[in-house]
Amino acid sequence: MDQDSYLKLQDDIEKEAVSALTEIASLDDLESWRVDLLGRNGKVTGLLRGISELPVDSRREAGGKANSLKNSLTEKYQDHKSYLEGNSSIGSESGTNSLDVTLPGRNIEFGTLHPTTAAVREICQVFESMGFQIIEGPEVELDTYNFQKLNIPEEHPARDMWNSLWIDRVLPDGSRPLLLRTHTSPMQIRTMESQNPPVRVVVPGKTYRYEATDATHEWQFCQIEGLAVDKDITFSDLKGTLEEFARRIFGDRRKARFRCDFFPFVEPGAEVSIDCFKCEGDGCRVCGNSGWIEIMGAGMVHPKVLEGVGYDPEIYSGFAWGMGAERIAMLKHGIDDIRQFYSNDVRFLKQFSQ
Amino acid sequence: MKIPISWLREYVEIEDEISELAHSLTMAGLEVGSVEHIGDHWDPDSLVVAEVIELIQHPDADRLSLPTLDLGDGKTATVVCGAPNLDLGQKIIFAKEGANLFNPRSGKNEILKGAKIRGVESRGMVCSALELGMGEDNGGILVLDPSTPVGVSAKELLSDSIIETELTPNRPDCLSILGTAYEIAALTGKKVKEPKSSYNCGEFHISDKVQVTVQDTINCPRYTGSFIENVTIGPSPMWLQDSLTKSGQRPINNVVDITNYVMLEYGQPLHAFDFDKLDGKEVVVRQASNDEVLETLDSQERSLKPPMLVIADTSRAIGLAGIMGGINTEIDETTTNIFLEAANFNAANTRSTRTALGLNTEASYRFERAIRHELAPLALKRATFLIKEICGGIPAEGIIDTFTSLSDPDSIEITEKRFEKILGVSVPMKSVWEILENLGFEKVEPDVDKVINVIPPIWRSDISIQDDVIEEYARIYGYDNLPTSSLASSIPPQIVQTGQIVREHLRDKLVSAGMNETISYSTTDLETINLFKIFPVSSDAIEIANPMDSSRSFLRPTLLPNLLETLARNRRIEQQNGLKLFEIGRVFHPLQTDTVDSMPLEKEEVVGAITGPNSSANLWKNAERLMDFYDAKGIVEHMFLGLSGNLSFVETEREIYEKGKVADIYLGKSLIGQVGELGQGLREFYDITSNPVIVFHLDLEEIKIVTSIQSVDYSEPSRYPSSFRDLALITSNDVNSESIVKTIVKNKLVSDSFPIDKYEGDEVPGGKHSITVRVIFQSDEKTLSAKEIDRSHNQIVKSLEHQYGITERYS
Repeated sequence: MDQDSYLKLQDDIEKEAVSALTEIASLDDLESWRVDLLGRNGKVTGLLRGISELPVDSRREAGGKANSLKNSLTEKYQDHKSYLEGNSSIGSESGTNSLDVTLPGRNIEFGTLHPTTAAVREICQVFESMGFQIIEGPEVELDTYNFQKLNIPEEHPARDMWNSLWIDRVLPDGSRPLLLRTHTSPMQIRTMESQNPPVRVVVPGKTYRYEATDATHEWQFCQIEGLAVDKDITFSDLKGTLEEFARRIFGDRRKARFRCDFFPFVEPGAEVSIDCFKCEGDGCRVCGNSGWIEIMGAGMVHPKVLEGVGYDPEIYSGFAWGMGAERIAMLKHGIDDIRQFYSNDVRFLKQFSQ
Repeated sequence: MKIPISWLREYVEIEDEISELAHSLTMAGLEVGSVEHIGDHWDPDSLVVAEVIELIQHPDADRLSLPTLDLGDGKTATVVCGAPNLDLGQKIIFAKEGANLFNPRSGKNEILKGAKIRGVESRGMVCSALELGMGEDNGGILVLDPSTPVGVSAKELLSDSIIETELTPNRPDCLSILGTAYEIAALTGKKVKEPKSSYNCGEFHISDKVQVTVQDTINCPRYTGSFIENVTIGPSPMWLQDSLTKSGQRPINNVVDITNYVMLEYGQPLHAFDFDKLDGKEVVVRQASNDEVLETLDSQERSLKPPMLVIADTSRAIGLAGIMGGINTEIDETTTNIFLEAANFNAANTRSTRTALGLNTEASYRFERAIRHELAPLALKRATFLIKEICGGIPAEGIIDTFTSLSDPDSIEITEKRFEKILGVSVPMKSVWEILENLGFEKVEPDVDKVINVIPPIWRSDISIQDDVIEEYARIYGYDNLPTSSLASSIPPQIVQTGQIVREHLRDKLVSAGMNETISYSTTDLETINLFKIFPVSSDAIEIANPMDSSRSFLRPTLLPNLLETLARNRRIEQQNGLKLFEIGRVFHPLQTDTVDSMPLEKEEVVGAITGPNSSANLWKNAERLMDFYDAKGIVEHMFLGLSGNLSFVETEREIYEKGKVADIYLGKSLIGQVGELGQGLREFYDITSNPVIVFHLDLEEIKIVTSIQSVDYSEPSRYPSSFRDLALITSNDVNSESIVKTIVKNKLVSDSFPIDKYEGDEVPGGKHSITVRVIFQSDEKTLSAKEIDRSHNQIVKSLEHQYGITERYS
């Protein structure tokens, strides 16, 4: 053997030994490692014996290296032994056992709720804590419930506020009785028809409008309706309840603003806004520089609606509201295009881990 | 509606800043969508009124002229001008060098620079309306009223603000300048100055000129008309054109402009007929006959039918009532005698006619919102006055008015008690009346204690009950100034909603199993419905008459196709990761009956689909493998943890799944759905062929019936240690693992057992496979000895052999 191949062999043994040591987790395995290298017939012992076969002038250098390998492996053996025996000192300087802590942790796979579902749950929970119950209703509705009983007769211009998708069913009189509900408000009627006051319900559900889609309009979306009816419910209760809702969803410091608005099934009618949580009301992109963000429509249940379901409006009064779940989610998460909600792109969905 | 502030100021004093005004209107229910300022950036010194005192042809250009302008400060200027309408003596706006103007060519505001045009130096220019930012008209220069004083700054003369209100359908009164002025008056405590409308008439009576017969008084409750002879048709004066332009209307001629002007002023549409074009002297308001044709002013032939309402002469229709006039009686430059109409048409009929004809006009927009009939004679007189003033001519004495009812308008009783019941605060009637009076209400009876009777203003059609009046008070007082309180009434009894609880449990479990929730559109197409063989006949599917997308015009009868589409779409986006998607939603099945109020059957389903590698995002220390049937089955099993009832899986055959790789899922005895590998055909249809796709499809309605949240019954854990043995068994392929495990757990020392490996291959004889089952031994009474376990082990092997001919592999 010449000097070069001897030194290479020495190198290989060292590399293999060091790498093998990192995998060793038991004293038994460590002992086999020691015997394999440093034992009587071990590889390092063999190296030392092999010195004599080298040319004389290279023996000294090769011998020195082999000896220092023996010493270093012996030291490593001792270190690892004390480590395995639980004797390793805190802050050991040995690099042999250290982990690359920047490697990622083992992946725990997670699933995600759709952001609409998450928003519906969050909103409903706030109202549930105020004594409201969650109920649901049909997505295909009768014209009578979607419009007429809500004080929106046929050919009423307010129908333009709810352009409808009609089911292809025609009655003998030529009218279409069924449509995809344009709001969850029909459940106000269905609820009041089926129970006596007091009523306190929230109604989440899919709604549909015949509307061109753009960044802020989807033809399918989720609305959350609310209704409270009893003997002494007033506009000030409406304000207090919805203001409290706004604070719980958008933060303690939020102020709610109420302005006059029109929906045929309420009187007085209101639109509820909050001061912009992004700019604190100074004006920014989120609030369209107005400082205020519209979050829902609301109002006192119209006496005609109460009469229609057999509640005496001289005795009972109530308030109702409706809001878009996606709109609330968009505001909370800074989503600027509602169409994302129905793209179902997993790169979108996976951002909403709980 | 676009409302120029300058026009508003003719009727009501405005002291507030425009932004303040816009805010007040918005809070009171008249949402101001935008505010546009004209002349904001005009420099008073560089844009001034000038007079054309000399006009010569440009020596080198036929289309250019060289006007010399008197600037009013003793100076003159000569510039180059290309406008075809420039004339000697005109008053125009002159822009000096350095003026900030809109450049139609660049589309931006720019600073005007001097230039040499075809060899002639031009330091300044004569402005068009477009260049001044006052309208769309760039056909020529803006010609001012001849009386305009020279030298006045354009800013002083022409600057204005225009607010655009976005009105709710209940406020047609505010589709007018006057209506808006009343609103501002109420908000600011000012009084409205009514426009002038009294005129001197000629010495002939209208009844000698024209008769009007209303045949359909339901659809035309009131018809008023006036007659003016000897008018001169021509362009309107500047101020009128300017008002119309700023409100978004195009000036046409003086008579037509006046009808539009008064419509904007009062909110009452009017129409002027060229009387000499009428056949006879009688105007009839009647329903159209079947297939009656009328060419409307937009040159479209309209085919009409009852109950569409027309204005007719003795032989034919001359106008589509409340929507658009006919071309046969149009005002043109030769017109001299005018019959002017201001009528009230039924809202619903106007709406159904304009919908049927697809003809939405300023007039129909107002009528379908139910305007008050009282406006008709007011607007008629105002327009007649303006025509006389502007177009000359002599109005006939008297007007046509078909309205006969003389009964007093209904009053509304309002009480302090009701105000308190609705608003939650006691309001003195005195404060209420202050606001109502400003809004134009009238009081009909002397005040009784805490009760007053009021009549709404004649321009308001949206106030009919006491609660409407409460809103009037509240919105002007300010919703924000009313108190707030929290709900004090009792909480209603619980409505039990077990279905929701089960559904949300399943949803949470799916998420915790690593599934991503999707929500898709509720529609699909007929091909898909047939492909999935949901209905025996495709006519059972529910179709939308006016779908958003004609290729998806049916309500989905199953959730699966949309989920597979979503899966395929995501597969194309991300090739490397596995996909685990689910949806919970409604599907729609046919109407069960055929009565007037029958509705489709709506059912909830749960569907899931998984494909690709089992671990996404990072592969570090995680072995990668393709997801298979058992991944999906595991998810299904996970979903039902915590719910009552035993889940079982039975091999089955179903059309859409791979043969031999699908199971029916039972919860107790109820079939609740399937889990299996999607068939090759569907994978090809959706182009998701690269890896197996495993889906599960569950009937949530059935699940809601048969299960509920299971309450946990505690059992004490054994105090003694357990030990286990792994049994490698050789079994024939017709014995399934479930049977083996059932046999094993019958042994009384066995606390649990489950398969841990399955092997088929060379080392096992044909028709057989090897299955390794882990058996857990544990007793509640003692620590089991090796001997006891050996005995049990032998018993198990013996009974397996006895029952199924199973042998141990290494025995």
